[in-house]
Amino acid sequence: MPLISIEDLHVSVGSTPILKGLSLELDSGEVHAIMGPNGSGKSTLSHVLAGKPGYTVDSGSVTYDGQDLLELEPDERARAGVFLAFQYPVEIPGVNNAYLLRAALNAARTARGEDEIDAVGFMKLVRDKCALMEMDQQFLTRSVNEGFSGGEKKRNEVLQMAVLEPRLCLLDETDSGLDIDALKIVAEGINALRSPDRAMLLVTHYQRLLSYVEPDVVHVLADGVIQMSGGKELALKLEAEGYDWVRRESAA
Amino acid sequence: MSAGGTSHSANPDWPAGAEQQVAFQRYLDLGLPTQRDEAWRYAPTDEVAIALTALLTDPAGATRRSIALDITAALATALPDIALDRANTLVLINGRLTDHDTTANGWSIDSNRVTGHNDTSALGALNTACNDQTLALHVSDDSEPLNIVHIASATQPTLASPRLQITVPTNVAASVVEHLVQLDASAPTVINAALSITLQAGASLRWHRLQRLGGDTLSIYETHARLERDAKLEWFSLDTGAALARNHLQIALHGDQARADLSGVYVCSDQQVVDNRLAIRHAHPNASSSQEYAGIAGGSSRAIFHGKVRVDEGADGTVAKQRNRNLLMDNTAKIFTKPELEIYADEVECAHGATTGQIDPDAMFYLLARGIDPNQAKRMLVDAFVAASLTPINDTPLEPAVKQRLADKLAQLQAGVLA
Repeated sequence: MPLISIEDLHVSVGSTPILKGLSLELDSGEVHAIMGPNGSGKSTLSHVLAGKPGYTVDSGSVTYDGQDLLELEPDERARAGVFLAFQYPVEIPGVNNAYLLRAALNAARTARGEDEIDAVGFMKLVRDKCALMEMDQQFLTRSVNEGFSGGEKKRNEVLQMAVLEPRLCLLDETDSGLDIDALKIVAEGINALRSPDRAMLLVTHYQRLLSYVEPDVVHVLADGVIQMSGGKELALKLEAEGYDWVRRESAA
Repeated sequence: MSAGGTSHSANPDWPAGAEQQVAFQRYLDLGLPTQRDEAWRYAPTDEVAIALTALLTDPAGATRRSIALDITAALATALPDIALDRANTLVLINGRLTDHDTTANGWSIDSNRVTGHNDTSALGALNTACNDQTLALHVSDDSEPLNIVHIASATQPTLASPRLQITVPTNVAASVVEHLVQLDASAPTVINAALSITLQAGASLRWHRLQRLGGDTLSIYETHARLERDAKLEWFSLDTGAALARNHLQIALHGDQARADLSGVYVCSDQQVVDNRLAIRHAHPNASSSQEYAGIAGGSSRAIFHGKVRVDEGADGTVAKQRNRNLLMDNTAKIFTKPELEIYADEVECAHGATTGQIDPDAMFYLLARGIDPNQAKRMLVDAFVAASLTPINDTPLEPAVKQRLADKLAQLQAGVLA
């Protein structure tokens, strides 16, 4: 059984349809990339899966780990192992990074029936993950994303992912706004999390992240539906030739 | 509107003393405040007028005093979340000192009448008219923190009129924690309190006021402070209770390097009204002041903040900062905030800001997407919101109780939202 199965999903914002019958399946251990032009519905897909308010699911279904994902509240989805790495991580002045991380980790552990982590164990875990993401530990004492550069925010998202160890990672344009060094660090962080127990959906506009994180499957999303799926070579072709040929081909 | 007819004393033998009679006449002349008075705009003046009129037309309303209480039991019931050192605690029931133990460490308390209050407001004059006991606090060096607990305990309608005076001598530092709590809320209580603070050169005073009165009580508290050269006042207030909680602070800075730092947090629910009205006067050059207030309003409550800074002519080198931030939890709650600067000097550094908003939905979703449940997420955001105003109580013995009261009040607000 796939970890997540999306069937004929129709989603609108206000009266504007965005997703128009999207179907997709991911198995644990797989990494899929979703590419597509601006406005194709890529971010809508990751937002709807994470439960962000403001979207209306008109029809279709999403089954995650045997449950109806769309019936769960956003925090319940997160505790069930769905993690959204935000395209634009939110600055939260006054909420300490380490405090959020520990609260989030304990929420996830409690949901899994595990004991809460003690302070010593938590600090050790976070130190290791900070090293992985090449982040200075002083990040932890700062407010969530406040005053972070674009690259620091994205690294912080992957740090959280590494600490929380979700089962389904939705990475929404995690490569945008990164210079090449930061891109490599983020990609290494993502690769370190690849696991037979985990599925990843990389939403991206460009091919360059996929040079570092090699996907098993590449999907092209345009006009609210998956137009085409293929191997990683599809990403290279899109990079070289743009998206127009996909539309022509699927119209044909 | 004149206070006239409705407020005359129903008891021909009251007020008894000459000074009280003069003060009562002054109260009548000044008249009860209305919303037309700038100092009472947005405040529930009708409710205040109705309650006071009822008390003053009750022959015993203004003179009814403490009822016999077991103080230890009363403290345990009314203030269960604060561990008090009884040796350094004064307890007032309905405005009157109950303990006659006036030997708190480093303090001496004189509860004889002190004359010459020079009230400029109607309610200040009413306090004098009703008051037959002024607590004059004298403090020496090396004093221990003093606790003052006001307990409202009304089995019949009661007007409490406590009046406190404190003078901190030159280069002496003192600390006071004042609690306003209620034992039971069976009958309407009005607290009309007055505090005057004098800080001599180099004196410093930390005054923290925690108010958690019952939901039917009207609390009106006027505070005047005068600071001389190098004097420092650190003020903090937490308001979570009462039907009306009004903190009226008038601070005058009269010397070089005098400094007043005022901060406060208020959370109101249901029909509560909180009114923080601050007036700081920079009467001398090179003094500084700050105001850092944060409020949360839910239900059909009303939060009023009016912070005024006046810089006198010639008071160059003044630094005055003011910030008031408000969080609306319900669209039925109301916030009125008005920062006001009146500057008659040239070389000053003044900043003010007032904001009213709701919990940021993007921040909320971010926390939910990390698996934090909605109540905890809201609490994290609210804690972050009030943090700047809680700085004075950080690492003090009050910190856990203050945070717990905020958490409890927030839970009450959320329950109200769900209901």
